[in-house]
Amino acid sequence: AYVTGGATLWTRFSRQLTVGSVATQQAAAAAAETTKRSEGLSISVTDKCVNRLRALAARHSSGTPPALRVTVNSGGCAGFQYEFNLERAEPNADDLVLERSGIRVYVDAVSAPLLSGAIIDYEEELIRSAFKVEANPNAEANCSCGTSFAPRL
Amino acid sequence: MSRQRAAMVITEAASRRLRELLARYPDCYGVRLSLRQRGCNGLSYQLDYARDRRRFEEEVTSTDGKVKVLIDPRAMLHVVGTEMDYVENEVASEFVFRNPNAKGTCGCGESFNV
Repeated sequence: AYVTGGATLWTRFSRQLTVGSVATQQAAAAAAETTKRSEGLSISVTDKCVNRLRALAARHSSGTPPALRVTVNSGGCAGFQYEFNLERAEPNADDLVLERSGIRVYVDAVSAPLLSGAIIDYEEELIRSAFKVEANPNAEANCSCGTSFAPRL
Repeated sequence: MSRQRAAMVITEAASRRLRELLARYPDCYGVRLSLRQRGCNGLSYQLDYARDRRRFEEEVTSTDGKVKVLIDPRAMLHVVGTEMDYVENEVASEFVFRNPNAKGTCGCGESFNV
């Protein structure tokens, strides 16, 4: 018996804030192309994801929450897989940086189109708690554990 | 295998995490381990909170004697000898099962076949 209230689904989705914004510090020449590529890219970050990153701040001496880097790599049983890493450094120039309530999520330029429209969540279950990419519209098929997917080409 | 030996070993890390989780549900007796036909490699583990012990279920007590895990009778054959552990890092924390009966597992370790 997990504690999942009936009405949570709607609230969860309605509370998500779409925060796709290209890192503004890009050079003008490179910006044109990046902006075009990043147009219409929107990746959502859930409250649970934000809260988890906040909770991780306490474990570090600086006391600041780490940034979450989400990468799409080849591998896994469905072709591509998601990878999550924590970073304390500033983003790279061509990263897509999602910001929400002081929390930052980095997505590199190659991974970003493959994650456009998806939701980045932190799932807490009895057997497993982990960061997760949910409802990725670019995925044609997912593997059962959700770490890998087959892209829609 | 002698009858005295526990069907499964529950490590201290797993026991600690289970106690943490069960503290939120004081009316729970323990957790139930079962298997589902799911995943790319056949079977995957499922954990649920258990309010009571059902008929024919095997009860395993953790090495430190503090938590009880019930094993679904249909899963018993496949999980006997398994070590249940809990691993935690910053991006994920999960229960892992080291199962000597598994002939193969999938890449993420979520499913296995026997």
